[in-house]
Amino acid sequence: MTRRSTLGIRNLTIAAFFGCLVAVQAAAAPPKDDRPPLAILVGKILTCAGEPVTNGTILIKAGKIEALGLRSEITIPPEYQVIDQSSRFAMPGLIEAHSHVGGSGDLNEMVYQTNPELRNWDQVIPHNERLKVALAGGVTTICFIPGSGTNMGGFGALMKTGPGAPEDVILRAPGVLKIAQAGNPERRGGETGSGRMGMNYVVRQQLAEGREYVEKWDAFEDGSGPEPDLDLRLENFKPLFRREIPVVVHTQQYQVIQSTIRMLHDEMKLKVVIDHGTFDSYKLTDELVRRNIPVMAGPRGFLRDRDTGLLMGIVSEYDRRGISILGVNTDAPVIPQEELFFQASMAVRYGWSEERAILGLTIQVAKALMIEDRVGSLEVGKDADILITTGSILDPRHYVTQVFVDGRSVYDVKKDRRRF
Amino acid sequence: MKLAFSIFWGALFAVLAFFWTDSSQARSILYKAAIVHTMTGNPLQPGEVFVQDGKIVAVGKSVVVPSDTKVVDLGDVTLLPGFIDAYSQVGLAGGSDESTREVTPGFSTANVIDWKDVNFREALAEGTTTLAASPGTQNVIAGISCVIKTAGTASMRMIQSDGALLLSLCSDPAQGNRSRSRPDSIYIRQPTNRMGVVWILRSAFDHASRNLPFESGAMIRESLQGKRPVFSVSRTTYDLNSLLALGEEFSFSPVAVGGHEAYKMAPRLSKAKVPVILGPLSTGGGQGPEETEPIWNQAGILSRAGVELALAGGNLLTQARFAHRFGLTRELALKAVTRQPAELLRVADRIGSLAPGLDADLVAFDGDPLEFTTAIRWVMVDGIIYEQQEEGGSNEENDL
Amino acid sequence: MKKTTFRLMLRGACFLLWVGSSLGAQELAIKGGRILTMAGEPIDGGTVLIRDGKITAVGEKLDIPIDAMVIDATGKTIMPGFVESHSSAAMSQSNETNPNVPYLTVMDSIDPMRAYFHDARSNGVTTVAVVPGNATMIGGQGAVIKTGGTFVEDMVLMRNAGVKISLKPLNEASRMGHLAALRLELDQAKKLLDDEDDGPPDPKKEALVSMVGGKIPAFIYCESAMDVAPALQLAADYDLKSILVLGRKCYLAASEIAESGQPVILDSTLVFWETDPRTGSDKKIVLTKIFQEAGVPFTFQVAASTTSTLGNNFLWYQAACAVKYGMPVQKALEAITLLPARILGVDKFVGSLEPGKDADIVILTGDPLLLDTWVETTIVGGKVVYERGKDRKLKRLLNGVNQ
Repeated sequence: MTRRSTLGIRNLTIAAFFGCLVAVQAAAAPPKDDRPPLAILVGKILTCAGEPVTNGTILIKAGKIEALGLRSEITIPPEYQVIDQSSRFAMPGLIEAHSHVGGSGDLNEMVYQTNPELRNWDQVIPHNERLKVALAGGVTTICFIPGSGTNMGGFGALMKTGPGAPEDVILRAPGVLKIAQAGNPERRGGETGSGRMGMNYVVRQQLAEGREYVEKWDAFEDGSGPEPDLDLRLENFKPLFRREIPVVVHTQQYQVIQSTIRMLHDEMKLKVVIDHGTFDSYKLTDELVRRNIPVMAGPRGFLRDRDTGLLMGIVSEYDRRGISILGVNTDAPVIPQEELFFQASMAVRYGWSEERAILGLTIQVAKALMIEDRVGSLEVGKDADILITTGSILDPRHYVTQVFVDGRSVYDVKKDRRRF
Repeated sequence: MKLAFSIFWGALFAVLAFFWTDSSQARSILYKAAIVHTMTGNPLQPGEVFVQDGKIVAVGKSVVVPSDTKVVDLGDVTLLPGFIDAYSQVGLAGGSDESTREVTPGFSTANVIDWKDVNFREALAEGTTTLAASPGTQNVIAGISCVIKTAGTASMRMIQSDGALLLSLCSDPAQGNRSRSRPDSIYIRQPTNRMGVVWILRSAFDHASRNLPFESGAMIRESLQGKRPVFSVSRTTYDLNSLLALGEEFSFSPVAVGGHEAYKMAPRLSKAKVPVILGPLSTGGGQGPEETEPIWNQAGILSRAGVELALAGGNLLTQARFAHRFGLTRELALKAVTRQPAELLRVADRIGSLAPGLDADLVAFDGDPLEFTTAIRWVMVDGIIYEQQEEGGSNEENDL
Repeated sequence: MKKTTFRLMLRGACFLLWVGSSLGAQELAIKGGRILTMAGEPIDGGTVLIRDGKITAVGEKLDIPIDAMVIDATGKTIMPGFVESHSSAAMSQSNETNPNVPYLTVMDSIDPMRAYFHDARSNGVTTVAVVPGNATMIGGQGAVIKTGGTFVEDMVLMRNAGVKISLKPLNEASRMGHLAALRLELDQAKKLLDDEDDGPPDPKKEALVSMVGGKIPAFIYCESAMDVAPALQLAADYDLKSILVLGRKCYLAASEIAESGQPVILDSTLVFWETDPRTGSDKKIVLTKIFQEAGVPFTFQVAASTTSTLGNNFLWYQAACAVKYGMPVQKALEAITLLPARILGVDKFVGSLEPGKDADIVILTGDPLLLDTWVETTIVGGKVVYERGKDRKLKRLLNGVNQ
């Protein structure tokens, strides 16, 4: 039996909770929207927001999902272009939590240890060669971030992988702050910061400066303080300390994650995402669960436990201990961006459940990155980022046949041939 | 208004030039040619250009001149305005980059011109009579270019010492710097990567536009406000996108230089009204430091989208010829090396077209200027003929 | 008409399937164009008849065989395919690091899938002498090949086209040392040649022995003018059939070369400026002009397309440049067809449109060397190997996007 069967046939019960007669939300369409309204007929819809829908229809208008439900219960308006994929699966586009392939290869500005002034959305190359293949692997959104060469590499952007001008594909910029807590950013030139004590000191000082700056502005804006001087270098800290965007932290190993929790979450009160989180970090899961901190694990997926000699799946260990927002990452190009699904497949091989793995490629990542109102599941009102596949994305024998981003078909094996 | 201004200056220069020029040069000559491309309207066929004391006094199908005026009938020759290279590193003595700091807007190339540089001569021989000697791309804000003639007496050659402000919104300034190894080195500084380049520009513009203390802040501020053109060396799509973004953030109107991938976003540049100084074009190998694919018809693609376009970076004549072969119209190919660069450098009241009051900078071609096989008969700067070639394209050794 | 097009396409498809294999009787006629045969006066509205890859007739009023495939070239110009006399661009690497490798052959390094071949066909080049680069003393043996085909054995016209010798000293070596080392090799070869009856020669020396005997040519690269005299001396001392490959500075030795009476291969940079270090005066050097005035016949090289170039990576552009500086058009066209064929010793097969020669033909949209003229069709050995209308690379270069 293939994995597809366990995932699909078990859930044949048709969920009725998707009110198929949902009042069509007339989205205020931009003046020149050349996207035709679409109706996609699908054999099985993995909504990532509840039970799958067998023999369903998805209506798309102005780039958003307009309606979704049983084919028998959705009336397709006559002007809608019908795309028949009734022998296929549909699911939300995959979301990459940690990627460096969204633009030019400028990852690290190495002179200063903290670089909050840097932003990488100036170097976005929409739909570049790597992203074209990523799309064929089902990845429609990536968190494009600076590298971990310094403790604070700069602010990254959340972007779609489809074509368009930078402002069309960027979902949010600043999207996240990138912090690296150990390993790569170690300094050997005599500065403070060759070890973890030093590095944490440096990061803390920088965050404190940023917090003070934002607090002054907050005070000014609610009328309780004078107008502070604008400091372009610290401006991007505003959404961070206002908890509108998270900090994604290159962090792994028990002690380092402990610092992440203590400094970034408890002390600085930031929205924190654990990226990598490998080696023995999973042993801190209780602390993470208590604080509801998401973990985007990988690309290293397993650990041979030194004491027991046992092979441990990193993701399944987190899962077993109860992390609720759990996903995987590729650190592309460390693992090719198009192989994101395979990070989840391997986690399943080590014991993760298939249902949770699907969520860990989609809605869980969206929640971690705080974009779950836009992407990550197929629900009315969300962006129409939809994959059509021959079966479960976790099974390497299946593949993506068509991808929609913002309601536009951007990859179609019938026209483009297979890219992956 | 502009014309009146030009005529005024023309007259003034005519008077001054009377005292300056070598008395052995005939001061008034009427040149008759088969075709005259004035670049202000349709070509004149035939046409006449009346040159007096280094200036153009009259241009037309038939020009009325005093009876004692010397008349030179050039026969089959086609006359064009001298070519203008809006972005060139020719003539910069002792290197084109200042390597101790990243932001050097106050630095001016006007101070370091080697007037005897053989490259002036080479440019002149190919019809380029004016070029903008521009600082290199190792600095984020590199300095001010100057606009100079490729021939003439030193006092006459500098026509604009305060040319354009040059930015390097590209990866180049990050190339020489290192990090971490030796904290005492001057090479340890931002940028070591393109994010740093963008940040240094934003920081400089922010300081300058808010009057905060900053080296040459006033210079930057005035430039952003439009006192002089702002040229930015930007070749890739992301460099050009960043340029548009910075232009919006700090309210200035840039001109993109290099622009090797500009064709990929031609409508966007057109909409933003950002002109492109394209080049150097290439027919083989990668283009520029990024080695981008040398798409042959990038000039034609840009012009079709309505982007104002100049060709630059040396070999202007050959560039114009190939640009036309690959799809740029004849008119725009000629304009891209004459009037357009003059306008972008804001010296169109002196050079770039053939009209009364403008400098007598002319190129005489033995035939169709855009054919590969057509030779240049002579090149004139300020009314003086240089690079005279015999029939059939021979070339005499000729000391300037 | 439609039928003809269809048949043409069909033949094209067949060609793709049958590349490399010799076909049965295959007839082709190119009619209606202006034919520049390079072996007499141009023929307006003439016809070229081709059978089994060879030209059978060229003339004004020829009967086209009933079963011949016909290419209508009305309004177009028909010429012999261009001949490139010296290039390493077809090789995966132009030089070995061992500086003394006369026993190697470029045949082992030619990659028919290199972009060079498409670019050559699209620019009318049908024959190329693939020769090792200038970085080794004795660089190996060159081969003359056709640019149409996918398997090197089917493309080769002349397997042992000559040995490459470079007079440019290696690394830090002196010219004295370099020449001494070279002469030592040639002395040994000469000795082997004289003792030929003593049994089969060392296979590693075979090519050099042939070269010394004048059986195969020597491509001698001269970096500067001072290398020219030694090159001519070597040729005289060892009875070499020499082909001089000149660096740009060699123009200073133009009169010596003229005396020797041999044609040369010019540097790819045809025009450049020099400043006299004593007087400071600048001088424009136009190689074609200097060699033409000295009476030296010459052909061209093109710049390697891996470096950023404008124009001089095309053989036809080099000819146009020569015309710009006073060379008659006919002479310039010869310099990219018949003359290089003669230099390489393959003029029996290529270089002009004459009965009996290989059907290597380029059809141009108009007069060659004009700005708006493009190669429309390239034919090698009677087979269409390039058609502009199907050139996807060209479409991309002109439109900027993948088609």
